[in-house]
Amino acid sequence: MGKIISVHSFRGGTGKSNLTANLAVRVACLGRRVGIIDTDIQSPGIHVLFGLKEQQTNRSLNDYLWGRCPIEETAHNVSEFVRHEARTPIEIPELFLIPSSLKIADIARILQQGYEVSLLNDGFRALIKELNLDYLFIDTHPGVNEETLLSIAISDQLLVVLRPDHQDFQGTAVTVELARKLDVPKMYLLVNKVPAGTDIQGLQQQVESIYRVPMLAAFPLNMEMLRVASSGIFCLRYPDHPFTEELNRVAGQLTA
Amino acid sequence: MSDSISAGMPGKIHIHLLDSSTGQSIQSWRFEDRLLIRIGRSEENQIVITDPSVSRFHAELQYQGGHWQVVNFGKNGILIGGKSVPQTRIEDHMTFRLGSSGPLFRFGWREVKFEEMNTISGVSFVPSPAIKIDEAQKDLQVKEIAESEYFQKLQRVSQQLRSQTNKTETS
Repeated sequence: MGKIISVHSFRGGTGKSNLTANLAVRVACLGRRVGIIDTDIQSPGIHVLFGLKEQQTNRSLNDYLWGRCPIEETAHNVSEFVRHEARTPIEIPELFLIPSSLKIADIARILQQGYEVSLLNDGFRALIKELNLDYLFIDTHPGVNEETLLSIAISDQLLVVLRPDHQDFQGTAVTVELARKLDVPKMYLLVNKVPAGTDIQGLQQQVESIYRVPMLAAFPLNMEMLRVASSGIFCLRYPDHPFTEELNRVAGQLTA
Repeated sequence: MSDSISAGMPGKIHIHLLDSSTGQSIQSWRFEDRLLIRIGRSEENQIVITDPSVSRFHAELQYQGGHWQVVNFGKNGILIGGKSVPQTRIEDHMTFRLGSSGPLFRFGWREVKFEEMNTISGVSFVPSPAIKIDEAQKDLQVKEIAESEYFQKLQRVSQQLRSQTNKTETS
């Protein structure tokens, strides 16, 4: 059964896209067929991590939403990029990326005209079927809107990303409550950009007590991630980094 | 760049890329009886680092006259102890950085286990931030969204939507 994993955060800058890309790669490295769809139409970004440039993306999610093509035609196979980025040879079945359009005119148009949100649900189902996916990761736009609520509503697993930052705490509480009302089967919190030396156990106790949601991981703030600066996939460049070890653990939990 | 040959063989050496915050080794390389090790962005190097502050051919570790030295060829230089050095002898457990904000390496001929390199020196213990939620405000925000027509429709169909997706592979 193809499972949908939505990755969401209430505010921007939590590292959601980086986590989505890296987790998807780790799941693919576990031998699963994986798709990633960038539904952040207003500010697409995850394609950068996979080295996808505007001239390479002949079709995007926008084209599907405007009825120009079936959604599977917007899928870009990034498996070769991933194999090339890896420091040691890796075997992955297939990894697909469905980007949102990078063209400013397309972004402006869709913001102005909107789109039929229900098409997204049809699209997700078609992707899983046509590409024979085991997992479809949805990289959502930050905040709460119709598209993010739909992604949450149809998810099998919801990952809510936050920083240990007071501005994120309040919004995460709203997201978690809404997700509960939508009966998401599994929901987890990922705390990202945790400063070195933070009492992780204390953080986990607080987070789980207040949100009543398991905290799956606390990812460390680190200079190496800052230096990679979204130019590639961190876990492939730093396979032995503690951050990558956490990713591996989370990927194992998601696919258990 | 040079390819000079020196007398004697150097045995095993270990180069560790360190996490700048914690000093932990995040990647390591081991070389045996190698007289020249190149570090840089180019894949032609023995140690490839894809960091924008690292030059394509940034540094060389050269074994000459029974000892190792590190030689700079990079635009951003090599720093040891915060000082830029064009070339210097390098000893066991010495660290050097490529550029003032670039990757930090430790050189050694003794393999250090991951646990031994785990240090919190220089990192102060930070208690986790106290999480406080304004429950009244949260309830208000949730209510506003949950009472919308769109949300209520989603609530009604979410179960159906999930089961439709899960059945997709069999249709």
